[in-house]
Order: sequence, then structure tokens, then C-alpha cells
Amino acid sequence: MKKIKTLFLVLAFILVSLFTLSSCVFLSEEYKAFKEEYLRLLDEYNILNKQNTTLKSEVQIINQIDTNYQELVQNETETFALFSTLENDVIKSTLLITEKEIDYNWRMMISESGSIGSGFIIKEDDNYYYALTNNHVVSSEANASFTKIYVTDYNQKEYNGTVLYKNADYDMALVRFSKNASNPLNVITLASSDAAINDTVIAIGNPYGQLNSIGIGKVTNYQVPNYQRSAVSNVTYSNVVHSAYMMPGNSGGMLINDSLEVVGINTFGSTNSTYEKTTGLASPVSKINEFLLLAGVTL
Amino acid sequence: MRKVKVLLIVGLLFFVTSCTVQIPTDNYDEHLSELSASILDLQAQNTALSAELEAANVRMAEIMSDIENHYDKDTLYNWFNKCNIYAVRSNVKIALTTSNSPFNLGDPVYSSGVIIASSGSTYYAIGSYFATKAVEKGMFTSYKIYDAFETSYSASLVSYDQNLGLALFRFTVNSGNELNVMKVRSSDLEEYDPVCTIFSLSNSTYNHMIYSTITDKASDTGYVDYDLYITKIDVISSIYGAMNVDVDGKLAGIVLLTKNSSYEAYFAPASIINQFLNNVFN
Repeated sequence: MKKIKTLFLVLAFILVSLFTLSSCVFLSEEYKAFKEEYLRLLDEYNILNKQNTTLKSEVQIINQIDTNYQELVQNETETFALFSTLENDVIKSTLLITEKEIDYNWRMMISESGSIGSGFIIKEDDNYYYALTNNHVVSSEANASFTKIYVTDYNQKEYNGTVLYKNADYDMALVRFSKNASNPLNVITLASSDAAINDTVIAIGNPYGQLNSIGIGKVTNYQVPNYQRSAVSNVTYSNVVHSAYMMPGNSGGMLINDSLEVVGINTFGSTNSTYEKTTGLASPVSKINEFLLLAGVTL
Repeated sequence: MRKVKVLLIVGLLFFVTSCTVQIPTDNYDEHLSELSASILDLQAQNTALSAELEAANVRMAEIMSDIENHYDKDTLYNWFNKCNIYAVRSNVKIALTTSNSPFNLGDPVYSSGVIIASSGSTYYAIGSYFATKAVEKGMFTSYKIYDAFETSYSASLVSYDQNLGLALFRFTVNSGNELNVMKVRSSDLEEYDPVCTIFSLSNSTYNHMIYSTITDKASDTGYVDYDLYITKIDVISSIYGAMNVDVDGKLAGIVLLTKNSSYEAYFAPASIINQFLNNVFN
């Protein structure tokens, strides 16, 4: 009896095992089908996902191109507006400064000589405009019997100028001239800080007496000018070195940034014969402020 | 004891088989429907993205066709410098004084011009035919040219072409002023191309510059038989003979007409200038 029980138990186990195994085989088939379908769908999902990533990337690239294009158009519009402002408004602050030296010889004959340079209006009151220029523009080293300063505005209207203060250590001079109500001029603002290297700068002046010449360049460096110092020009501090077009006659002209604020006063400049490589040096606005403090001028 | 062993072996077999087969316990349908839902979502996303891409491609085509009409800051600054350093020194102001009597000349009428050739100290400037109209009427005329530095010289009329609307003047420079001879473009500009218009006005003594783009062409001006190019410029005075300078710093046209009411200047293109110069010099 005991043997039969054992046998029965064994049989029962075997049957259960067989049943389980057959179930497993059945489930395995179902699983296989599921797996195949799952993998098919997964493939489809992956393809779609890849497409999705590609589409997103392509749309993103085109959107970026569109953004760059909008920026280009916007910059272009702003640049045209800048040109227009420079040619129509900013030039109304620029001046041609002429110093005439008159000598009388032993026969009381008069001979005239002089120099030209540029300047710009930094202040006005009810009766006068106040302009900055270079000291070497208004101060002759020669022993002239008589010197006279003329200020010519952007449209060649001439005024008598008076030098109120000058300082060779800054190579700057403050010139005053009378206002003419029928011929209003513009005052230009000084920047609050010096220009940085690579900043866009614009030099405005009168090279060889050509009125209202404008050149655009960049600040390339700061350096102490290496030149023959004299009693009228003895600059020993670092100047703004820039690539904006400069020629004789630009001395004393303004150097402004692209916000149209003065960042310097042009003092020296040179260019090659084809005008392609210009180097200009300008006293930075921080030095202009020091000079104005010494001159007792409050803006 | 043996039976126990058999039982253990069978039990072990059963256990091992169960573990090896690893019967999944999850719900298949749930998995598949989740994945199908994700696929549907992706398909919807991709459909939307494809539509977005299609629109973006249309925009891209617009950008690509228009982008060549636009210039970056550096190019524009370079152009500005070319106009200010070189082209401006080609600008001249032409003063025409006319009268019925050679002894009683009237007030001068001013127009602009551009230096296009030189030989030693002799310079040639093109201007508008407008400046020569009095010649045809048989009046006594006298020409004076002012350079970019406002130095004046006596000038003479070399040639003019009423059909092309242009005139050529000659003058001799003895001032030492460094003047510039403009090169003429070989081809005409197109719509949206930028031009710098440089000119002199009768009531001012400096060289004016206006930066703009070509907006259109005009065929029926009633002035010349060919198409004139139009630029919108903010100027109220007449600027006949003004030069138009392209981004390469070359002469692209000469203004022949202005419409002050619409702030438009109409200029003869480079091909007409070249035709005129060929007619004169050949």
C-alpha cells in the first residue's frame, strides 16, 4: 500500500511536471508571437523616433538660419540708420579749426601761415559753443607776431575762435566761439568709459581740409605714442590705437563709439599711399575728462 | 530513503524547468498597446514636424533668394569707408552760368558730377545732360567745377548725349588736391542692391552722402528711352549728376531725375555710362 502511495505520488509529480511543461510550451509560443510583434513595433518606434530627431534637428537648423537672417536684416537696417545719423546729425558737431599766424617783417610786410585741424563741440550755453581740439592745432611753435583762430562748422560757416585753456601734456585745447541762432549746431556727448580693444570706433574730421570726412574702424590697442615731443604736444600716457581713416587735418577730431559718444580725441595718424592701412592715435575720454577738470569745465 | 531521493529529484526537475522557461507574468496586450500608443504619438509628432519642416523649407527658400541682397556689418562698414575715403574725392560740383549775352552772365545753376578719367592734370567728369541744356538753346555758357575740397576750376563741355541724358566735362587741376578717378561697373545693379549717393548741393560746401537700396526700375520717365533705376533717398533738393556707388566702391549710376514729393532719385545705370563713354572716346 505504501508502495502504491509512493508510486501515485511520483506519478502525480510527473503529471504535474508534464502539465507545467506543456503550459510552458504553450505560453512560450504566445510569448514568441508577442515578442515578434513587440520587436516589430519597437523597430517602427525606433525608425519614427529617429525621423523625429532628424526632423526636429532640421527644423531647428532652419529656425537658426532664420534667426541669423533676421539678425542680419536688423543689423543692416541699424547700420544704414547709423550711416544716416553720422552723415546728417553727428557732422553738425564737427569743426574745422584754422590757426593763422601773421608775421610782420622789418619792412612791415605781412606774411601769413598756419595750420588746420579738426574739433568738436562738447558744450553750449546761451551765447557760446565750447569745442575741443588738439593743442598742436591752435599753438604754433613759431614766434608769430600775431595768431588768430578760426572755427568753421560742418557747412563752412566761419566764426572767430578764442582759446580758453590749453595743455601740452594732454595736447588738448578748449576753444569758444559765438552762437549763430540761424545756424544751430550739435553738442556731442562724452562716453562714460574708455573704449575697449575691438570696439567699433568712428573718426570724424577734415583730412586735408575736406569737410566732414568719416572713417569707421576698430580699437586695436592702447599704447604710449612714440613721437618727437615738443612744447605744444607732450603726451606720455597710453592712447587709443585704432584703424579708422585718419589723415593730416584729422588732428583734434572726435573719435566716437557706435553709440555716438566721444571715446577719444584724435591726435596722430598715418596711412599708406592707398589709404588701406590706417593707424590713428587718440587721447582716451578719461584723459579728456582730466583735461576738462583742469580747464574748470563742467559738462 | 530512495523514495525521498526520487521525490527530491522530481521536485528539483520541476523547479529547474519552471525557472528555465521563465513564463512571462506581464500582460502582453498592455505592453503592445503602450508601444502602439507611443508609435501613434510619434507619428502625430512627425506629421506635425513634417508640416513644420515644409513651412521652414519654404521660408528657407525665401531666405536663400533674399540673403544675397543683404550685407553684414563689416561689409557695410567697408563700403562706407570706400565711399568716404575714395569715392568722395571723385565728387564734383558743376556750376553752369548762362546768359543771352557773353558780357552779362547770370547766377550759376549747380549740379553734381563724378570724375571718371584723367590724363596728367586733366580730369574728365560725367554729369547730367541737365547741366548742358542751355547749350542747345544757343545761350552763352560758362562752366566751373568745384572738387571735393571746394577748390574751383574752369571747365569745358567735351560732349553730351541727350538720348542717354549724360554730359562729359574736362578741367585741369592745379591745386595739388588728391582727386580720385572712379571705375565704372561692368554690369548693372539689381533691385535691393545698396548704393551710396554722393553729391554736392548749391547751398552747401561739403560732400553729401546718402546710403540706400534700389527699390525699382522706371521705364516711362519721359526723359530717356531706357529704364532708370530708383532709390529712395531722404533729400529735398535736386541732385542731378550725383554718383551712385556700389558696395565694391565702383560707379553704378548717375542720377538724372529726382521726385522730391516721393523722395525718389532716378539714375542711369552703369551700362548706359559705359555706352556713353564708348561713344565719346571711340
